[in-house]
This record gives sequence, structure tokens and C-alpha cells, in this order.
Amino acid sequence: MRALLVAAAVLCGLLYIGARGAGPVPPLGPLLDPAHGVWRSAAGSAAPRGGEGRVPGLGGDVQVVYDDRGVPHIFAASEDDAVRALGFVVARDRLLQLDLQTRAASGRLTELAGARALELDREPRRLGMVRAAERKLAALDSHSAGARAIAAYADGVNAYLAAMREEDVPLEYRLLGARPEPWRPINSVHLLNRMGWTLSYGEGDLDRARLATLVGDEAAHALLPRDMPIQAPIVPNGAGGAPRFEHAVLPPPILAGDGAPAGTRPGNAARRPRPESGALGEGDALGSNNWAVAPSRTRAGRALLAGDPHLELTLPSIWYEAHLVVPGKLDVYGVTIPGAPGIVIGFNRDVAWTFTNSEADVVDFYAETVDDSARPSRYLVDGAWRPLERRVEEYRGKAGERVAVDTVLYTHRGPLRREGDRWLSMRWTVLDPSNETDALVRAAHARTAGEWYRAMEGWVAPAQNMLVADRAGTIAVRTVGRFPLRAPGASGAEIHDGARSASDWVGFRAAARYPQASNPAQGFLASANQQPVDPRADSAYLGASWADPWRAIRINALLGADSAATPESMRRYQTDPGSARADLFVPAFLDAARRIGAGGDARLDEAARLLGEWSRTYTRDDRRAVLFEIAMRELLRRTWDELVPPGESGRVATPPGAVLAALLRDSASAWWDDRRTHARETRDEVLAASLRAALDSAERRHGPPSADGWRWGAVQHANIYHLLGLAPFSRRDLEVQGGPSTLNPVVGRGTAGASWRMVVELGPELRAWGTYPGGQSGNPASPRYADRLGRWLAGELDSLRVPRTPVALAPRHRAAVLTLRPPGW
Amino acid sequence: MSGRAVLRGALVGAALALATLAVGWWGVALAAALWGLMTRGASGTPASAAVGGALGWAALLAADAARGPVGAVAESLGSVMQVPGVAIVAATLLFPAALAWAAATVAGAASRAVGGRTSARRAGGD
Repeated sequence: MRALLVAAAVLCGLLYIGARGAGPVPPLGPLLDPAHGVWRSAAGSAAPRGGEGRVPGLGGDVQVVYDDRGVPHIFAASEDDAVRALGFVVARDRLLQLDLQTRAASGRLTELAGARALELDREPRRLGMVRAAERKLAALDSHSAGARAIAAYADGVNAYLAAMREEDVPLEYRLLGARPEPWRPINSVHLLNRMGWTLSYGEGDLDRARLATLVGDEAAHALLPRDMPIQAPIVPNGAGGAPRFEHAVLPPPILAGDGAPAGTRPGNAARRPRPESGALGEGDALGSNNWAVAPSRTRAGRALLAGDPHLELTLPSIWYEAHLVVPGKLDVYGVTIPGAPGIVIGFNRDVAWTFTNSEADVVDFYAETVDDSARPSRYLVDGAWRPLERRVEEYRGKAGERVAVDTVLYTHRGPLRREGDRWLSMRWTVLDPSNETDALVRAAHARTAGEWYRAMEGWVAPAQNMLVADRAGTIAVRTVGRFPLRAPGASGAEIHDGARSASDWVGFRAAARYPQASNPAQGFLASANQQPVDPRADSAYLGASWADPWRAIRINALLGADSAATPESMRRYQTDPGSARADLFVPAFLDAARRIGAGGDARLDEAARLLGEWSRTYTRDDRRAVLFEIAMRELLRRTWDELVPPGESGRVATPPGAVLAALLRDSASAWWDDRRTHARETRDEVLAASLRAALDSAERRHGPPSADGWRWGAVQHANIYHLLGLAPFSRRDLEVQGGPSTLNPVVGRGTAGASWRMVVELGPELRAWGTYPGGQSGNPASPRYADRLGRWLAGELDSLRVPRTPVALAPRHRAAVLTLRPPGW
Repeated sequence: MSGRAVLRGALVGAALALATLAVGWWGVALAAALWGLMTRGASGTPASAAVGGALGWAALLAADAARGPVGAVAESLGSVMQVPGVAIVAATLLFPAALAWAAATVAGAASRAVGGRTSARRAGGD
């Protein structure tokens, strides 16, 4: 009897755990089942494999030849078929990523992960992105190249899903206890919206307003300036790439009790600032580099183009490499984002292109007057009440149960939200109707740089610095996107009065007035998210949140010194360890230490001696960069102490490094005073104190200067996390050459960086090189999951194979052939 | 264990593997329960079910291993669940063994009980 009771209890327990799991243990039955569960992933991880597949809608056979790097070369008879095949092969390699990215963009992660993902889901819905995607798709001309590509791509993904074998279900779905869902065309729109969110959504206006409550309007606008005090613009300004310093005196902070005029008196910042993390380097590494060199400055006499977009580093990577060939019509190679029905960055036989983010101001906030501050239903414009549009957002859980319901309100400008005691609505170009896919698809056919830009004229968001080189030797750059025009006198760098229709955008900048340059006398073009045009050349407002110019200065210096550039030198520059930021600040520290330490300060002398030994490069084995970075952190803390609200530990915003660099010219500025002390500090005292404190801190954390603990590679790492954050599928503590503000940036937690590196030489015969940190497969058990990581870390590039026909790929480079056929053939 | 017992375990294993292929993991419980009913809980039935459960899934796992890197999957899953990869393999063999043992035991006992009552009714009716 006892044995029976035990058996019954065991049976019940196992059936329960098998079906439902327990605590962190997922349902064991479907997971461990060797016929249908996780073990089948083993077979699915062998990569890549050939065979046959059926894809509804295909007009004929499509041959997909995988090369030895796992890159699919798609040979099709029509462009629609090529895109169908692209959807198929991307789904095959990156199914979870496809699903996860679009769920994240459409606020539907709760359906995979339950209520814990609710706050992540709320953000895109409250920003109006889901509503915008629905409207964009509805407004698409179904005959446009973009709409056809979106539909064809969906066909391909769904054909793969329909034919998917059990072993091909990604392992992560089994851990989540979920299954992939059919792909909808709107997912491609969600994906591009998400790129817009990552790259063009900024709250600089709000940061400025928060700063103004602490230090006054004038100082806030000077701290986050519309024009950077160091100019190294994308559009050459005649300085040959050398930076131009535009130093203005920084207005002193007006602090509480200073007798500030009404309207500028500091108040409470609406949001709590983030506490200081203690990480090294300011800002993050989201940003990018690209440059092109004219034939006159290359050894081979051919145009060279290089690009490395810096984005969040994940496994699998944001990029997927592919080659699409339609004989006589299309031959495009590059990287696509899973979900995007075309090549985003890449080249054809005649033109190569790459992007950096423009940082232009394409979002404005409006303080609205509402009828009820708690539950508004109307808002005031020009003295008349207008109804707020209401949209109900429902969040569902894993089993379809309702997790939460929100109501998002809209004015004619966009979504409305509460910010402190105000209601702010938002106008953002990402929410406007657009068809970026159309632009990408058409640009892939361009034969010249000019044709390429004409194809891109419909591109709205995210605004990008688009760099192009062509086989005829033209190099060109243009900042492309939709740039709002505000009413005369309004800059966009402030929160507008929503009660006046005159605050609304009055139009968009004409393409002829986009920042642009081609074939400059200096022989090269470069962009690195810096202010695109020197305000001396064009003072029209384009934005006020530019990246620091350090990378741009460095690229310009490297290219300016290289009159015979080669693909190899392009590759080397992409991981160049030099830093224009260090070149500017190190002498300031050393000069201050010399002046202050003259009275005898052994500790300061020691710190200065160590810093003086530094080569100002961030190689892995360097042992002085850590001292500089800690000194910079200390300097920021001491200088910008006014930007920390009372009772908080973090700044509401940190001014660009170029503003701090400009402040170095003003040795007695009120900003140097450290409020936490009774004395009034000068620049040199703050610099010296920062350097001294850095030595103390470095020794405390990393041991004596001679110790291995000071080795840069031991201090700062790249960390590439799996999309679900699963540690075993992540690659952490990776030693990288580079640091804050170098061309290969490694900043803070090291989770962003060069997501794709590409060099293209456009000659009679195309040559190209590239790599990204990860691999073509999204399956963590696949040998192609992270096989490119080693070369990426070493700064090496793979030679890209670009066969014109299936047989042109040498057998030794051919890994597998997949034939896709219409059903019934 | 006698050769006959091993043979019986192998046959049960084949049946449980087929059941898993056909209906999924709970096919193990179903087939083992059937086995328990058929043998009316005869001595050795639960043990042979347990051996069969482990052998059946081991065979399926071997088939997976022939088609891809099972070791890598074990390591990956083990690290996610913070156990050694070998523990995942062990769990994959122990889970069906325990499930089959329990199902065969319970079904055998139920079969005996029903059979006993039927016999008693028959005896009473006679």
C-alpha cells in the first residue's frame, strides 16, 4: 500500500512538473522529450544545410548557396522571389530574434514573458509607435516596391514557419514554453519604427528643461548647446579636417537663493536622475563611424568606403549578412536587420553605402493646457477646446489572459503624457507616414551616388548621415531624413506652448538644404554623429544633441595624414586606439598638476608622472588609460556638481565633453567651484584634485600602478548579451582595443559598440571586407552562433565573397545549397 | 537481472519510445500505465517500465546525437539551469524512468483492485 501511495505521489508530481514546471524549472516534459523537445535543437544547430523548401508565391526556383561563412547568396528570377527567399533564410537562422524584436517594438513581450515584461511593453505603446505602424502600413501604396517587398518577405518567413521541423524550433522558445507566431507584414514596419526609436528619439528638450530648473535657462542652453564649441563638421568647412574651436564663456549657474529672475528660478526637476554608475567614460557607445576616400588619396586610385555602425551588441547580432542576385536587375550584398525586407548597409557592383546616426532634432514636446489635470478629455488650441483622441492598449499574457489595460491620449501632434505637473504631447517624425523600405529597395539598384540619393529621397526616419562611394570615384555624404521647420523664432531645443497652433511645425526642410557634400577638395569625407554643418556656413537649426567630435577629429587626422589609403589602413583605423579627447584633456591635467603641485604635493606629482607616461592610446595592454578615465570621472563629478538635484546622487544631464573642454579656457569660471566645499575652487585646483583622487581610486580598486590590475584589458570590457539576457548564451568580459571616444568605443558596461565593420573598394572588380560580433546563426548550440567574435575582437575583417552566379562561388567556399520552389513543382 | 528481464525492458523501451514519438512526453505515462494494466501489476512490471522508460528515451537521444551536437545543447541548457550539462542528460533518462515506474505501479494496482472486486462480485454472484 505504501509503495502504491509513493507511486501515486510520484506520478502526480511528475505529471505536474512535466506539464507546468515549478518555480524556475520550466515544464520538464516538453523540454526534455528527445523526440520533440530541446534535444532536437542539436540537429537544428548543424549549419548551414542544403535541401529543398517550398515557398508559396514564388514565381520560379530560387537557389540559395551558403558560403563557408554562413552567408546565403540568393539567386532568383525576380526581386519579389529574392525577398521571399531572404525572409525564408532569415527565419531559418534568426527566428527568435525576428519574433522578439518585433514583439518588443509592438509592445507584446508580455505574450512571451508574462507580466514582468509589462513596463517594456508600455513604452512603445505610450510613445504611439504601435498606432503609427498601423497607420503607416495602411497608407502604403500596395504597388510600391517597398510594400511588395514587405509582403514578399512575410511570405518567405511564413513559408519557413509552415515547413519548420521540430528540431528547428529555437531552444529559447522551449525554455519560455512558447512557440513562434506567424509573421505579419506590419512586423517589418514595427522593426523600422524600433530603429527610429533607438536612433532618433531623444529627450534633450526635457533634459534642458530639467537643467534649467537647477541652473537657469541661459546656463542650461549653454550646457546642452545647439552648436558645439568644437567644430569638426561632416560637411567640410575648409579647415582640411582640422577642428575649429568656438569658445564662448559659459554663463554661470543661477542657483537657488541667487536672486534669479522670475521664470528662471530653479525648481524641482520632474524626474529623478539616475545615480552615478561608476562606469568609465561618459555617455554610451551608440554612435557610428563612416568615411570615404576619393581615388586621388588611395593607393589603388579607387574610391574606398568604410563604415562601422555602433549599436547595442547582442547575440545573435542585430545584423544578418546576405547577398541577393536577380540577373540583370539586382546584385546587392550587405547586412540586413532580421525583419527588414532588404539590405540596409552594403553595396552593389557600382555603389557602396553606409550610415551614421544624424542626431538631428526630429522630436518636439508641447506643454498642453488640458481641461482636467487628473483625467483630461480636451486640450486647448488658440482658445478653442479640442477633444483628445483615446486609444486603448491591451496587454496579454502567455495564455492570452489580460495583463493590463492602458488608455493613451493623443493630440493632433501625437501622444500625450504626464511629466511632473505638466501634460506634454509629442510630435516625432518616426510617427509620420513613411515608406523607408521603398527607399532601401530602390537604392539597391543605383549605379551612381546621385542615383542612390535620389532613391533615398523618400526616407523619413531615422535621419541618417548617408555616405556613398561609387565606381566612378565619387564620394558623397548627405544627412537624409525629414527635418522639421519650426515657426520663426522657435528652435526646437525647448518645450513649446501647446496652446498656440503657431507652435506647430510649419513644414520640412527641402532636400536641397540637407547637409551634404561630394568630392571635397580634402579628398575624404567622414561622419561620426557630430554636428553636420559648421554653423558659420549654415546657422539654420537642425538639432542640439550632437555627439562629441572626438571620433570625427580622430578620423579626420588619420585620413588627413594618409595620402595613399588602402583597404588595410581602413581596417586598421576602425580599431584605432588613439583618442582626440585624451589629446585635449591630458595636457590640461598635467599643466594643472605642474602649477598646483609646485608647492610640493608628492601624491599629485606621482599621479602626474604616471599620466605623463601615457601614450594616450587604449590598447589592451596599456596601463595608464585607467588613471585618465578615473580622473575624467572625478573631473565631471567636481565640475558639474551643480547639475545634481539636492538629495540626489546623479546629474539630471551631463553636458558634452566639448563643453567641458571649452570651459578649460576659463580658469576662474563659477562652474569650477565645488559646492560641497567652503572654498571657491579654480580650474587648476579641480583638475589637480581630480587627478589626485584618480590615483587613490585606481590604487584602491586595481592595485599599484605596476600591477596587472591597471591593464586596460583587465579594466574595461565589451559584454555581448544574449537577447534574453541568458548568461550562458552571452559572451562577457571580452578584451577589446578601444575606450571611451575612440573609433572603436568601449564605454560603461561595454554593451554597445561596432555592430558591423565594412570596407569596400570600388574598382573594375569589387572587393569588400566585413565582420560583426556574433555569427549568422541565432542558435546558441550552432558553430555559427559566435564564430566571428574572435576576428571582431582582433579588429580583423573577413574577405566577403560576392559571386555573380551560383557556380562562381568556388566549391571550397560552398557550404550548402538550398533550393526553394513554389508548392507543387 | 535475467536476459529475459533485459529483453522485456528493451521491448517496453521500444514501446515507450514509439509512444513518445507519437504523442509526446506523456506517451511514456500512457504506455507504461497500459503495460501495468496488461500485466495486472505483476512482479517486475514497474521495474521493467522504469528500465524501458530510460532505454526508450536514451535511444531517442542517441538518434538526436547522431544528427547534431547533443553535448553542446546539454552544456547550454545546463548553464541556463545552473547545473552541469551531464545533469540534464541524467534528468532526461531519469524523468521517463520515474514516470514509467509510477504509472505502471499505479495502473497495476488499479488493475488488481478492479480485478479483485470483479472476482469478488463473481464469487458473490456464484
